[in-house]
Amino acid sequence: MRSRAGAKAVVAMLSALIATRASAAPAFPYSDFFTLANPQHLSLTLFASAIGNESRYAATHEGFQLEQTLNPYIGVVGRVSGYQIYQGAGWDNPLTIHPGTRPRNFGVFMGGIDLLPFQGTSLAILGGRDVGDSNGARIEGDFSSWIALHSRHPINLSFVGDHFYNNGQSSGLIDVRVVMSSWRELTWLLGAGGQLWGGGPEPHIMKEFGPDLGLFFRRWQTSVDLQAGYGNNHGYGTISVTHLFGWDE
Amino acid sequence: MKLSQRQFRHPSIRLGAIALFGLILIAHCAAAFAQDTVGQVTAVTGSAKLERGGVEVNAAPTMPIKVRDELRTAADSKLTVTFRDGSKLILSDSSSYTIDEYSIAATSRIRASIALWAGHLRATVFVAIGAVPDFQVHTPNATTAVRGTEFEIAYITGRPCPEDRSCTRYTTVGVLHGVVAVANIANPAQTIQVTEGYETTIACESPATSPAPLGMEEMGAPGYH
Repeated sequence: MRSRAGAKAVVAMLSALIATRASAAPAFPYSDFFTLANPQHLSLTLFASAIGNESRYAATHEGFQLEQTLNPYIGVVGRVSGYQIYQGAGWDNPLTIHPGTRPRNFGVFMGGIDLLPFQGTSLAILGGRDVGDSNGARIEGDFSSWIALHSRHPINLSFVGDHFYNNGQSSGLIDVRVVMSSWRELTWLLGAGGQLWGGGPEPHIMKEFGPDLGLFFRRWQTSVDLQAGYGNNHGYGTISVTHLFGWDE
Repeated sequence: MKLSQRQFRHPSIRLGAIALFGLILIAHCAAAFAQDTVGQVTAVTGSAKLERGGVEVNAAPTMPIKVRDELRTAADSKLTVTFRDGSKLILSDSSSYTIDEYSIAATSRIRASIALWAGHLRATVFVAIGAVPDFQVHTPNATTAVRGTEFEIAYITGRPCPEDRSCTRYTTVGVLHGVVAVANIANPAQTIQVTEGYETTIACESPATSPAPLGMEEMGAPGYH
């Protein structure tokens, strides 16, 4: 019941967002839908992250993502990542059994499309498969949108939903971050976010929330994101580093 | 009262006259040089051209730069010009600009006006302590007046503007240090101030957008997603 109300709230928020953007758009906002993106753009994102909590869950993952624009509103995405789960279980764990004495390693291959309906908004829909200690399929949806983009303090809303067919677990991540300040070399963001997960080996809805800190180092095109907080697994912390390359074609 | 021939022949008077004449000549030359050569090419990567009086030559380091020179870069090229007041313009690939005005007295800039015709230009403007800079960069649809020292400006044609996809000629201005006043050339009174770490876009005849943080297109959801 509660999740249905939450889903309605998310749909209402997305509808409001689309309505406000559409009212600001020209009469035929997608008249160039059947043209190639100009310029075509290829981006490569390298990423690495580490997650840990007091209930002794420890995991790292790293990899790269390639995205190529097709038309101005759609891109194709491919992602390859490696996961290491050292002990315990958490929101990004697709394993069917709790890890034993050795770290569990698996690779994840995903592909899909990225919808770019407005400036600063994207919705990527991905599907793929795990290979290694986890070998089931998985699907993922990534939504990110900037509100008040042309202001001193733009706000970023992001939602990520995953489902792991290997163990039947689903997870959702939500973050709200505000640009606090932007300088020549650095932009920093502050906000709050957390994770919800359940299903499969986890009979209850688990959750954890905490404050977010984001740092974007412009010269190196590198972001460092930190989150620490508290939830069903007690205290937790995450850190990630992403590095972006981009080429106009 | 006239100096007699005898008095003029006096060595000290003659020396004084020569010194005075020399000073006048140097001052004239300096003024002429100041009006003429305003800087020089200090770095070239790839291929860059300098057009002066309808004659085009390859730009090379130490080549003097004068007012009304047009500078152009080819693909994968970059050109740096350092002016006599210490200001610097770095022209990125497939770009061009003209020096419409660059008034220098001794080594202090009085007034500068640059026209960016295409591509991307990074300006580092020397500002003397206590001075009010008068350094302007124009594109075909925007005008910027520099109140600070370092900024980037690009004029892009043939591509949809991210702010208004129906517009295919637009200017972006990003400020790395100081403040830059930006306006659409069609409405120069509607000026916005862009501060360090922010950027604005001027699409076709639209006014400059409210400043947004630099590099927003590279930022999104946190990476641990």
